[in-house]
Amino acid sequence: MVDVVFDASALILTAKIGLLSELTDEIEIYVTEEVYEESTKADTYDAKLIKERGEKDKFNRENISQDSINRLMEKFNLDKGESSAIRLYNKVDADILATDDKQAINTCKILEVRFTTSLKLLERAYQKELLSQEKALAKLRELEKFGWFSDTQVKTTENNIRGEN
Amino acid sequence: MNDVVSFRLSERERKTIQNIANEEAKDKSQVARELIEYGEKFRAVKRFKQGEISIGKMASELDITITEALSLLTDMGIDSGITEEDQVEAQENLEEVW
Repeated sequence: MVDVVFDASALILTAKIGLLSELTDEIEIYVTEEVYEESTKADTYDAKLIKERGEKDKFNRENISQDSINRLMEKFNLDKGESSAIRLYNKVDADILATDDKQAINTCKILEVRFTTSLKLLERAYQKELLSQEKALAKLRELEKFGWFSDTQVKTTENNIRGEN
Repeated sequence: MNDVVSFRLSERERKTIQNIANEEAKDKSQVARELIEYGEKFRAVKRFKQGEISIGKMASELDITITEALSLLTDMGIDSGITEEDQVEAQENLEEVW
């Protein structure tokens, strides 16, 4: 199993495209209480799905001390969710941190935290045969519709899934 | 109950509020409050776009959920700001562990 810490942006997007459920057999998901709270606040499908998975103990939910969260928040202009996720990565010695936030990615680079994105999790899930090509492309379309990643990034991922690169 | 606060406005600002109030059949206080709200959103979106704050910080400043912040940005045609280089690194990182 791969230990992956999620921040709210990546947790929400992977839930939105229905990828979260597909990952839980191969990935041990870690979230902080702050990320869980941020991701389940909205009255949306993805928030309900995250809550449902959380209630079934599909995530490891961890507490991080407020002091250590505050220090990162101030230094890198992050919110408590992103800061706590980075702290959790170190605390549990996770393999990787999933985030779809540019500011969090920049912080990961400075702090030498290994990061990935939901776009790359989708592509890798296909390569690992957790998803058929058809299903992976359908989920990619969902991500594309949402418009969070550039057209070029979506196209590159599509080509990778189709084996055209 | 709203607080009563007094501000000095320029002639142009005063006219703007009056014109919008006339156009939208609203009172001037309501228009002023709406403009402050728009301004607050614009400021937060701009700070996000310029890479000054994270999506979480933006949501927290506007007192909205991250899902709402994501929708607000994408509705305005603003994407994550994540670069091709970031994605390449994200892919390489993931391949190292999974």
